[in-house]
Amino acid sequence: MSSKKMITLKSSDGRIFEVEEAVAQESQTIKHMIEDGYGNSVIPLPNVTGRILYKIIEFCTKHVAVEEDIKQKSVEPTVVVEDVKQKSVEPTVVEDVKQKSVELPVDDDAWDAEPSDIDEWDAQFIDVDESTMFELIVASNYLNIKRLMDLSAQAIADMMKDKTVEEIRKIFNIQNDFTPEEEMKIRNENSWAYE
Amino acid sequence: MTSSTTTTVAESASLDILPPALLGSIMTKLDVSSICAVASTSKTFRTCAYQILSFLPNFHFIDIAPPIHLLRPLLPSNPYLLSLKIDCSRLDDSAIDYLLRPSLQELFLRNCADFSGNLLSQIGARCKDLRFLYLNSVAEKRGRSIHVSDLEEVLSGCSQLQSLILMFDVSMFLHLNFARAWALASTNLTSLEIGYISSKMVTELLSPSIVPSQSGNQITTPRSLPNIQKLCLSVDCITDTMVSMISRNLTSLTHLDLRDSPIMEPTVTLDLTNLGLQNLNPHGKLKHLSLVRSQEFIASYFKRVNDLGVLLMADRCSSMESICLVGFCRVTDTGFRSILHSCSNLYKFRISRGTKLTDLVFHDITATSLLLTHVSLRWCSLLTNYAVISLASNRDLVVLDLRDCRSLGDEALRAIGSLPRLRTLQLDGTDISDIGLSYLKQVSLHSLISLSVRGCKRLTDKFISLLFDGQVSTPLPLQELDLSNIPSLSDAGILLMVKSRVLISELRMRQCPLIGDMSVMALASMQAGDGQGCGSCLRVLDLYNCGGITQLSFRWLKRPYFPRLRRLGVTGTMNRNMVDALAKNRPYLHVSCRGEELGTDPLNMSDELYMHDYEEVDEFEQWLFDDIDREIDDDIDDDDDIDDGEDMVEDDEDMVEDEDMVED
Repeated sequence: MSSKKMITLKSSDGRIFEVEEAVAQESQTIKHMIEDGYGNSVIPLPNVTGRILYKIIEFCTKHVAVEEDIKQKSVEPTVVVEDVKQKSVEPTVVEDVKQKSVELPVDDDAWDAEPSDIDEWDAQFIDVDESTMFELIVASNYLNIKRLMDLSAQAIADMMKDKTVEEIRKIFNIQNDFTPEEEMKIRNENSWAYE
Repeated sequence: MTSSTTTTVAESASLDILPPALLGSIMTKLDVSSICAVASTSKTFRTCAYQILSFLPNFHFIDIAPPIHLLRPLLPSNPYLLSLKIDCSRLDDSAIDYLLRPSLQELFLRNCADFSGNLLSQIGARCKDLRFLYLNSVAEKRGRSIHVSDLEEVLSGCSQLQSLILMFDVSMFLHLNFARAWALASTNLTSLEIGYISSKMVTELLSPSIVPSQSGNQITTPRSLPNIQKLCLSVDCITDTMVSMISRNLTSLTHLDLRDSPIMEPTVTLDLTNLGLQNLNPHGKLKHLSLVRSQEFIASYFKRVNDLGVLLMADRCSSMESICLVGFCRVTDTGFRSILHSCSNLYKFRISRGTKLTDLVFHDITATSLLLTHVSLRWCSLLTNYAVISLASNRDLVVLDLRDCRSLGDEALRAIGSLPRLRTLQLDGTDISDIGLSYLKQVSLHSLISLSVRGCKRLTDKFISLLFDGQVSTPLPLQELDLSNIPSLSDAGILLMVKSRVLISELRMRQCPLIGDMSVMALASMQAGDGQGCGSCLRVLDLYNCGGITQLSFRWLKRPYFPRLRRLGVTGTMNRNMVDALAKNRPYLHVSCRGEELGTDPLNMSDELYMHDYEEVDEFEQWLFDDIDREIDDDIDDDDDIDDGEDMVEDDEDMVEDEDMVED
């Protein structure tokens, strides 16, 4: 493998980070900047603090490493294709996959999808306090890192699930800006949400 | 309210600062009831929510049964809607316009009792792209009806249908028309489940026989349902003919689930025998098999199946992954062992009413390479602790159901307590004591989600302190707890449980004479330290026939207490007006006052877990039941029962008259 190119990133508070090109390119924003020719100089990221940038780099590094592992361990793809062609009478593998996608949504076997290692790592990664989570999602939106955006959005959604209105307001510090009449009307419509 | 940093956010950060697009992407991951709750917090979220509803792909609203006026604003025109799940208890045919969209691929409607068969024909007409359809209780209300033409329209209209679940009684359709309707079904149909159908209809449906048409000529019907892989049927009586027909004609079958509930003892020609079992799985593809004879009406068993049938079946079913046999009272250890040793991929093993099942079955289970994860051995009264100790060598066990194995005790729990992945444990009616339960504390309690000790008479309040004390640091995952029918359980125990801050979401304490108002008050008002009261996470609470519940409790069941309570069980007869007042105060609370079991997850379609038939059995009745077991044993000594059909029917009819057995 050729020597890895390093990209230099600068956070809003002046901290400098050097990362491998592959890791930096997890972010579509940075990837486009590199393609536009800014890869050789320091890339400034004025919207991202050093603390958050550190976490994001940790996330991207881990996922790039996991993908490398998967690529090296993958079975010879050519053999699989031939098998499918020959077994045209009984393409069981293909059909199983199709069947799974429309599996009954409430199988009592739903448990048996054991979380893979990377999912567990992700779960631990996102187990942070709310303000860090918000900063992560804003930063990942700015840097356009889809996987991290999905992960943090899901984490915030999980915090919102199954809570009453008051609880949500309290946890996320949301100001109630309805007028009393509007509040009354909404309460009547969604009385069960306040129970 | 509290100052802990885990619940409130620092002054600067608030969710409002996120750009609307991000808010949208967060909210699309929520279910509809949460979206509504978030929408009620502030104006920004309200606009966001209403925007989302016009492109949300999954509309799952199963928390409550919405009336039409609540539903209408939540279902605007949405061309991206793919999946719809709604509880239709308060809806009728007028809601069809809002529910059925041409973009739908998954449709899941529960409790459609107020709809007519029109629902089916409209689905066929409007939802051409449907892949998955679940309908429950259609047209069950008086005055509503379904015609077979409705069935024909849905089968022919939804040509992409892959999975069809019709949980209602189809046996009233004329057999001929019914069989013809299925010929219209799409060839993509791979999964079929029917709520109730007669075995004769099944046989006719699947047999590619020559059918006389009305003009007098004979026409051959093409084979129906050729690609079915999963078949779940609830029939009147499982017969050899039906089983053979299914096995022969459904060549891709991997999943077969048959359940019956005979109303009278089946005769020899209309029952499952060794022959039927032998004919199972001729193509060797079966991975899941379930044969259940439920005792809904009479105490009936698969009396014509013995070890020979099971041995021959096990030989053919070496790729089996899950097996469930309920009511095989004549199969002995030899038969059950043969299953464990022939099916090397087995991970679910469920035997119920195996009156001859003993410890020997599991004696050498370590010699097999089995990795059992779900084990259910219900009503196997010959099992002792030794069997459980052998079973516990399967470290991957996730679900363990040992209900009504009366000889199991604390030693079994010592072995169970070391299972690291156990999530569901059911020990109803066993002989365990407080010390036994404390063994769970070592390892299992940290993964356990559901625990049931219904009817374990030796338990007292002590087990709660033994189990839950000192757990404040790390929250336990335990969510469901069933403490019904425990005579010594009192308010003090419940107070202890609440103090230990275990966040239970389903609590059942049926028929506990010492549970009273104090427990309700404790559950309602204890704060668990992080701002959420213990009562605030309860979704299901069953207090049916608890000795100390008075009108005072009803005051504590009203709002703002128990904010998430959706199902409540109380004794309605004594407190009729209180129950009515509560229903008015909380219109979306489902109150059961006649002692019905409160269903758990309403979407859990496998009702085996909560198929309780619990009446307090006193010693006289227990003696009678033992009598039945003895009767069954005596039958073994008779010859191969072809002539015994008549005799057995007579005996059992006497038995039915004598006992006072009421099965729920």
